[in-house]
Amino acid sequence: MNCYQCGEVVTASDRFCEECGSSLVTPNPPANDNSCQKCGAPPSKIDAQRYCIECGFRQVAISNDRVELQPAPNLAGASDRGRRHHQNEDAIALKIIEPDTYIIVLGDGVSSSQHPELASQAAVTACIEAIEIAIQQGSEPATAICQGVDAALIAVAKIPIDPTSDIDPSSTTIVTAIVRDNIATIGWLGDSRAYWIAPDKSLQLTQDDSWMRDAIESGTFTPAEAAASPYAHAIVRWLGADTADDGKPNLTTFPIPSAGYLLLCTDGLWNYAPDPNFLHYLIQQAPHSDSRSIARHLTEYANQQGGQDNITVGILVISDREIVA
Amino acid sequence: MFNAEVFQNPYLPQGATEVNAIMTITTSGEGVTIAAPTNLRLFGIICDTSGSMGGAKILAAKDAIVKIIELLPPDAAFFVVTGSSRAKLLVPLVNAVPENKLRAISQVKEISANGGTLMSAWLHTALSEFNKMPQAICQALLLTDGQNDLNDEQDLTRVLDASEGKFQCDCRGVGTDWRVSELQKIAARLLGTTDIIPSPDRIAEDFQEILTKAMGKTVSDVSLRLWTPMGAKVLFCKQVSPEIVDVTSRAKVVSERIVEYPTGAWGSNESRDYHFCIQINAGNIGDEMLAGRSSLIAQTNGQETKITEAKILATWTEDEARTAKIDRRVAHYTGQAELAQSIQEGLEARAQGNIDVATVKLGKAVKLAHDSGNEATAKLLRSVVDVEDAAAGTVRIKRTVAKEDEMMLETRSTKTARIQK
Repeated sequence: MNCYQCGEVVTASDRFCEECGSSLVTPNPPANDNSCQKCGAPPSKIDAQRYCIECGFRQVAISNDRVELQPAPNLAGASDRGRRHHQNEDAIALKIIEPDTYIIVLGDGVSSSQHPELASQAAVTACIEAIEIAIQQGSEPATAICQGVDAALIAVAKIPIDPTSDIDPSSTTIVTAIVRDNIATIGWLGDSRAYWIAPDKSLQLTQDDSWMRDAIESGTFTPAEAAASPYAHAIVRWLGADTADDGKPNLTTFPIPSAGYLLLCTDGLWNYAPDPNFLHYLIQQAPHSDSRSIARHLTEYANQQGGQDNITVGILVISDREIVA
Repeated sequence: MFNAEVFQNPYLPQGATEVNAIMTITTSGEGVTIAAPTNLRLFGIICDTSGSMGGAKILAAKDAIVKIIELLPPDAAFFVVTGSSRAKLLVPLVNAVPENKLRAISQVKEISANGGTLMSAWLHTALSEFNKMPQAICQALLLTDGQNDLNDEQDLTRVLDASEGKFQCDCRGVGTDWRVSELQKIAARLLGTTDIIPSPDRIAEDFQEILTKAMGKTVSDVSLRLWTPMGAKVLFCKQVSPEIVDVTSRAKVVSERIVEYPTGAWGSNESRDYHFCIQINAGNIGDEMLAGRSSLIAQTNGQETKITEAKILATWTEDEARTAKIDRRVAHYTGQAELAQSIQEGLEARAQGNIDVATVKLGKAVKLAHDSGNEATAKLLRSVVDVEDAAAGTVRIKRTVAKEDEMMLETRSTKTARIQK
């Protein structure tokens, strides 16, 4: 092999080029920084066919058609392209801060915006990193969520877009939950949801920032009429450079009352299963009761129903012994 | 319309760093003109009038020059330089309208031969005329019968440096007293062809062919621009069809990753093939790389137009069925280059009296010409060797070979055959 800078012959174990001193450690660009995966050249050097016009290497499309995460036995997530969309524009991130803080973030890139797949990925990555830092610095969960969503907004606004395009700048929904000391703190923008699922006590914890909910709550439309409207899926708040307001997330806290499941999901799932009790039923149907099986079962269910949209779920299983009286 | 197409096997085994590709550039039909068409065509005739040209040669040359002056289209311009130890601007640059042609023809008829051979002086006088019409498609024809003055080497190099890119020049040697390498040096720098005219009675025919080709050019100053990635090295860039011209050393640096090779003027319905050999950094299995981006650039009044573009790729794979295959065009032209080289080496060995080496080299050439269907070269080889088995390359060197046959083989060895369908 040869040095990228000067072409001198180097061996695989060399860390620096003897000739010109260039670092030979392949730069490992952070996810979604869009720099060249080989030489680290800035995104402006990547051509339309994904070739880097510096080192010539083609950028590998990292497929996120199906993503499964399980950082702990009781915490898992899955994100699936679904059956109709050509790419997965949802994204998910999970983290555990020892000993007992769980963080779930997921986003649903707005299909009518530029690079929705980058928007959701950039948002969840920036959000979870900022939350982790805030929590470690001793911030309260609600403060940490606000800082996380702020960081997500900055990351989304940085995505290079074509300013001459009629298409909206990159945008995404976001929903995030921090669970600590049996309290779930939840923040969101858009129509990605959080549910508490437990026998007979399941409930939806978030309220969609959607035209449909506004229409029903204002009494202008019946739920059936609203659902039939072409605007049913239009969201009224989102995360993006053109965000309609200050981009501050809706916040709610929920004291976890019993054993059960905290479920976060995008509309790819809840379109087929909006009712919390039905979601409980579905979870009971999973072949195994571990978090990964449940996440997998829920995405499979949405796909069986048609998989019209990308499907993303994050689930935290809360067992009896975790409930400290 | 210009069209560029790349033929290659982009698949490389692990660790491989060499990419070979053939780019075929074709022009077709009408409209091979760029932004502001320069319909100006300037044709320069440079004729050796040294003492050795006397007799049949100068008579035939004069007839041939008269004929091409008659054939020049009225919208072209021309001039005539005659040369011996000095150069004479016999007919200064004029439009090819009837009255100018008549005057020129009467002057050509007055040409007589005497004196030495100082080609730098002839080219210098021609260059001055070409410099008067820099927007024109500038082409020249140089006819000589002898060797250049030994003291002219430095001046010749200097005038070639100054003429490069200003005009193109086809070189012809009449008889067998001229040196092939000498004319090839001039033609190569000035993007022209070199050939032998064995007997004076063939001069007229050859001149007309050159003129027809020259008047068919519609786009001047086209260059081949090659982008290669960081750390890459162009091992060679050769025109391989219609004949082999190695332009590797003609690369002009445009920017850090871009070099440019001259291709001269183009006419409609032309087709040329180029062979690129690029050394790149090895990728990992599964990696894809843009190993080169090759484009044709036309210069018109200082403005650049990108005419066409093609990509050279590399993909590393463990699939041996894919990596083992050599692209048939790459293989074909690699064979044609080997054929030309075998002929050069064979003739050199023969000239040095090393018959064993000459037999091996020319035998190999016969086999390569046979295998690739290059019948023209195979025929030329048969005038130098007796072929026992063409497929096996078994030959015997002829005891006596006509000088003109040997020179013809030497000058035409670089002519390649197109790949057979």
